[in-house]
Amino acid sequence: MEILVALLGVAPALTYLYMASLGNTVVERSGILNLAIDGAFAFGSSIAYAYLVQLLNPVYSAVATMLTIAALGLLIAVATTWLPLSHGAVGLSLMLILYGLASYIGYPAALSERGSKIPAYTNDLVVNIALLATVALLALAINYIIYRTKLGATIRAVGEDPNAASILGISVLRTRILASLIGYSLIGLGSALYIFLDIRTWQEGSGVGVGWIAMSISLAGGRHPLASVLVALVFSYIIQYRYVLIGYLGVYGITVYAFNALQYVIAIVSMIIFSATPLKRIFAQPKALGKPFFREERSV
Amino acid sequence: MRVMRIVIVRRSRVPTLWGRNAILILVPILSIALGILACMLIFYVAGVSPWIFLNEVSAGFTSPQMVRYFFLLTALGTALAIAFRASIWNIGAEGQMILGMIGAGFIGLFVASKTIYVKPGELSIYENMPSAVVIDRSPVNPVVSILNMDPLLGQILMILVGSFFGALWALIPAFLRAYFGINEAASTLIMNYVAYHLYNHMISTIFRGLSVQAKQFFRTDILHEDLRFQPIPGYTVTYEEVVLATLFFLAGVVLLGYTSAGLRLKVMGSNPHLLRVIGINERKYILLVLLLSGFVSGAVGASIFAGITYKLETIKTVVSPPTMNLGYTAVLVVLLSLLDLRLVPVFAWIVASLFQAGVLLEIEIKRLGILWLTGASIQYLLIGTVLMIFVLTRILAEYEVRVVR
Repeated sequence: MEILVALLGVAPALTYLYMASLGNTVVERSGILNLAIDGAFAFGSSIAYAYLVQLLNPVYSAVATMLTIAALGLLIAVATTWLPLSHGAVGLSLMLILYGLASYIGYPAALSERGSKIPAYTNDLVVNIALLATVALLALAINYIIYRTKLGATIRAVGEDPNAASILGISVLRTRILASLIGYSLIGLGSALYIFLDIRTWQEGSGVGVGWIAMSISLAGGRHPLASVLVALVFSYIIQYRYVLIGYLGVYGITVYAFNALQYVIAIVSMIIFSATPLKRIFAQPKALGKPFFREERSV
Repeated sequence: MRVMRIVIVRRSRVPTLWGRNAILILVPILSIALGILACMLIFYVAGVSPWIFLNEVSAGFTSPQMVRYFFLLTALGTALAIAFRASIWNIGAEGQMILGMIGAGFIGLFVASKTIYVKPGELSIYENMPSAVVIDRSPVNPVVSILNMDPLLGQILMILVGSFFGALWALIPAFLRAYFGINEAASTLIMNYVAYHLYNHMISTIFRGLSVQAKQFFRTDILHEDLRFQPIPGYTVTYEEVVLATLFFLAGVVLLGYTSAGLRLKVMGSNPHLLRVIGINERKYILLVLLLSGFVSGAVGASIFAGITYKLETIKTVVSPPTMNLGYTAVLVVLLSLLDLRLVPVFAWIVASLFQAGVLLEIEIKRLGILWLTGASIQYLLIGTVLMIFVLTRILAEYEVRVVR
């Protein structure tokens, strides 16, 4: 029973972390190295708050954020598939631009007087149960899509060997666009929920770094929708209960900064656990991940 | 009727200039110009007139403060160019600099000098002592900083320990890449965040100073005046930074151009299979390259502490750390130089000017009353757009865009 209560307590953190990591899973399964994720999450957080200040409705704002970040995913898919570009370079330069845009968009919203009109939100039992149900449904749905549908099969095929997939008549561009649209919608929704459910306001730097945690969850979960749920749970406990833990550990000189650092240390440790154990073979990364796919035009 | 299509095809003939790919020479210049234009547009939307924007950008090129960024970026550019040539994508110079600051801070504040509480009545004794500096004149608990060793030795130790810390920090992702195959671009980036928070943790606990302000604002005490790096008159750049950057740059040129280790690093970047075939331990070179890269970044971190900030303060938001995002800016420098170390100073100069322009722009924008355009957004937008346009136009060197029916 206590575990269940604790589970309800971490529901908000679990939801946004899991959604963003699931987004990363879908994107990377299609072979796109997703280094823009942190920029997208930071930008998503800022624009979600900006929408909220304008629309004063969390649902509309979340949808608007989803659409905006999905458009970003479309851009990434097209740039890395249609053009012979390095995924890493596109991702990192986009990350820097998005960090900049996050401040550019977020500040006017944070300074706006309309901020006081945002409807109050209380984190009650019903919401948390709904969030947990959403996580469970999403995990099952994306798992079904990836492993049981034609779309999932093409996404995996394109991630493993885009050239072979292309010869078999699959449009690599179309598949990656679809995967990015799904993935980035989830990342966008995650970043909106991060603002609406967790920090509830925006200040410079909000959301920066959370994208990397989400990416680590996805990596440590072997880019598997169901396995990632467990990893996401571990992280959400750390994030949700760090202030409680400091109550116990504060006497030993542990500060909130140490806990902030700890999240990222665990992110790296989870990558090590994944890479150093047989998990690496069981959940092998897509073979074509991050490799530029560019078919030479031979007819001209 | 057949539909028109845009296709991208490999160039059959490459235009040359001085025996090199002409487009490759033009691309960096073009991307800087287009990047500035794009930023001008973004700022125009925010209400900054293009005239002010261009004025500040041109002022950046002649500002004496730019010289400091030039030397810091040359040093960092060297660190990253060595790594990038070996296809090791070290995006963690930020964190390595932070560790350099921690190392230098430890030496500067606790080994080469120390701070003590004195009685208010004893202040006049310490004021006349040559090795002591009063750093807090609080009427209750005045604080005095006393030298423990020769200042020159202290400065050298600060740089060495800072470099050592930076190198150790870079060895972690190196080890992860070499033995577990973990992508170093992601791990070095995540390590930056570990570094930022670790830095905050240390400063608010064991490094926290004695003075009233240090207690109040969660920071260390200020560095003893004799241990600070001395600026060259008329500039903000210090003698130490000039010497360090020049040494690192020359050492980098020699390493990459004239040693067998350098050749192997370059082969690792262009043809790693060959390296494996001839029986060279690739792991050793991954460790070496990040060790060197972290060493130089750590030294830059040390010089930021001893030459700019003089104290370590908690980072309020991770988007504006004391390292001023120079670690990311240096990535831009190296990519614009097309990974050619000899070109690093040229682009370090251009990017340093843009960086300084960003600083000037921030001041100007604040003066105009646009409070919401922060330094972080200006820097990220400038670096990011130039980098993005570079990445996009870079392909024109090998490919061309054609419209076919």
